[in-house]
Amino acid sequence: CILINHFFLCNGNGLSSLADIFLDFVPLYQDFENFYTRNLYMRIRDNWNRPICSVPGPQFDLMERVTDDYNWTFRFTGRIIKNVINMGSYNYLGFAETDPNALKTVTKELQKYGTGICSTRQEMGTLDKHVELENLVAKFLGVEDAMVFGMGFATNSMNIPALVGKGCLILSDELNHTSLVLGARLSGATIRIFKHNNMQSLEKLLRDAIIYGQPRSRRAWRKIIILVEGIYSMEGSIVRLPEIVSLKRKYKAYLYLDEAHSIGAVGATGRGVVEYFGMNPDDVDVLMGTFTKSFGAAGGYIAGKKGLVDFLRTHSHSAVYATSMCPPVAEQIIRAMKCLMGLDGTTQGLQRVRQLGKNTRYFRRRLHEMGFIIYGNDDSPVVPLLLYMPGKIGAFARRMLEKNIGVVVVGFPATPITESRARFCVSAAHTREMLDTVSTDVLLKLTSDAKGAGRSCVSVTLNLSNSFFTFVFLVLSLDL
Amino acid sequence: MLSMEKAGKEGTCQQSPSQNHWNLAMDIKRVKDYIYWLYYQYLLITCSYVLEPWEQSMFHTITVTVFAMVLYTAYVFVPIHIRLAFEFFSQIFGVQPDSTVSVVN
Repeated sequence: CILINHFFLCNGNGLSSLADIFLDFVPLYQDFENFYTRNLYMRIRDNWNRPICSVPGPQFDLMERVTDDYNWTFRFTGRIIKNVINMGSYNYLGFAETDPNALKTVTKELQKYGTGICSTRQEMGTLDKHVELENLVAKFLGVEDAMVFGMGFATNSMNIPALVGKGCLILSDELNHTSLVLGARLSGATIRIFKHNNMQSLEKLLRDAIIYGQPRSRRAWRKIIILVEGIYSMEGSIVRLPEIVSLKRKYKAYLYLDEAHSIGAVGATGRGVVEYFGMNPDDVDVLMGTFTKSFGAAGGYIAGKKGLVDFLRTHSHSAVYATSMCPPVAEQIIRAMKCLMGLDGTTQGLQRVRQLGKNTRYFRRRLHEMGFIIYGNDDSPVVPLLLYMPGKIGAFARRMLEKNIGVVVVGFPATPITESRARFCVSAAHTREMLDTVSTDVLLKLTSDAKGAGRSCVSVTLNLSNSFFTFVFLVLSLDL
Repeated sequence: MLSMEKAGKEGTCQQSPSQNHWNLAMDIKRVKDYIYWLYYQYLLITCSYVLEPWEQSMFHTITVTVFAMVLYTAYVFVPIHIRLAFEFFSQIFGVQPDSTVSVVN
């Protein structure tokens, strides 16, 4: 009777005073996420948060971790697993490197400026490096002006509230990243979701928004903004930019394009999805991107018309309260971008982009030939391999680590629970041999018998009929 | 590795009799490995791969018990049901029912 009372009263908002009285009882109502975390995630937890101890290049070193009590606690043995092939880091163009020649300018700037800024952009944190970087980003993308921020996630979540507010409408894709969702929720605007990359769904929402206006007062929306990403990180699919731009023009909405994974990775010269589709950067109202993925640094940018960027310089939370990008990181982005644009005198940037394209196509073709289910566009360097059963995530990641390959596997909160996947990120720094090792290893592990089961070192036949015919042959040869 | 295997299979057909014992041992090993692979697939599909050993034993016991009961029920009841269904459908499709009337002289 006490328990039933507790159940009814502590549902929803909960009465904290009653909850304190019943501290000894296990609460009857705990949501599915807690259940999942306690019972499934804890058992396969050793596949995430693995500390690395080298630069995340095409190969890296892992610290070895063991657990004595089934993943509730971990301890480090002190050994380091060397030269694990890295299929998980967002290192698309291979700029995460420690080659001293490449990092000459970065070292110089480090010695000149130190590491800390100790201020926000508006107070005393704007360096000449930031101005140089912003001009370079604007030139790279072909827009009027750009502004850079210290952190990619914060760029989205702090700037969307500055651009939209109450009375505005946000149309966001089903599978948008958490930073976009957080920014949209913080802004206080009305959010409507359209199906992933589905133009009919988007058009229907736009028409309904314009015909019916705001929910109760039927007034026109102050602003309608469409939030999409260039490449979706869990699907590998590329946005349908030409159709979205034509819809936006027809219904007079604004477009916010988050090119976190696509800047530097797609396009003939690495300028993102806008170049991939051959469109004009002026078609997109707000171009946002991050430097974490293709440039080997940290931070984000927002680019567009000068009026927009000037507005953000004064009204963005990130500019007012967050520290700005630190100078060596800014210099790393500058040198990576100059390399991409060819301004340093070599064709190394273009070679990297071409190598990434070749690696992507080769890897996707190999995995497809082996019969795995791969999502996404053929040109995107993010390759999700579907594993469907949640039990297979742990098995897959552990087996890959035994073979010295580090992968990122994704399970429930980020994807639907029955569509777990392993996500490979192809890099321009991967050699053909590394990609062959990964795809052949994956082939052997998942389709062969004893080696996959890990029991013996002899590889077994791939299906029963083969071994049956062999047996028959043997018996016949015995007779002969 | 695949091509090596295929060559090995064709190679074994022309072996001399003294090496047949080795081939037999290899084949038994392959069958055992295949069975282990099936067990591994069963563990993955039912997600009992993630369970601790005592939980796995409990799960296997329950599964095997239920499966054995299903097999026994099928063994006892399925032939009877098939015979009844066959008679029912043959009645519908116009075949005369087995008549119980006999001529008494």
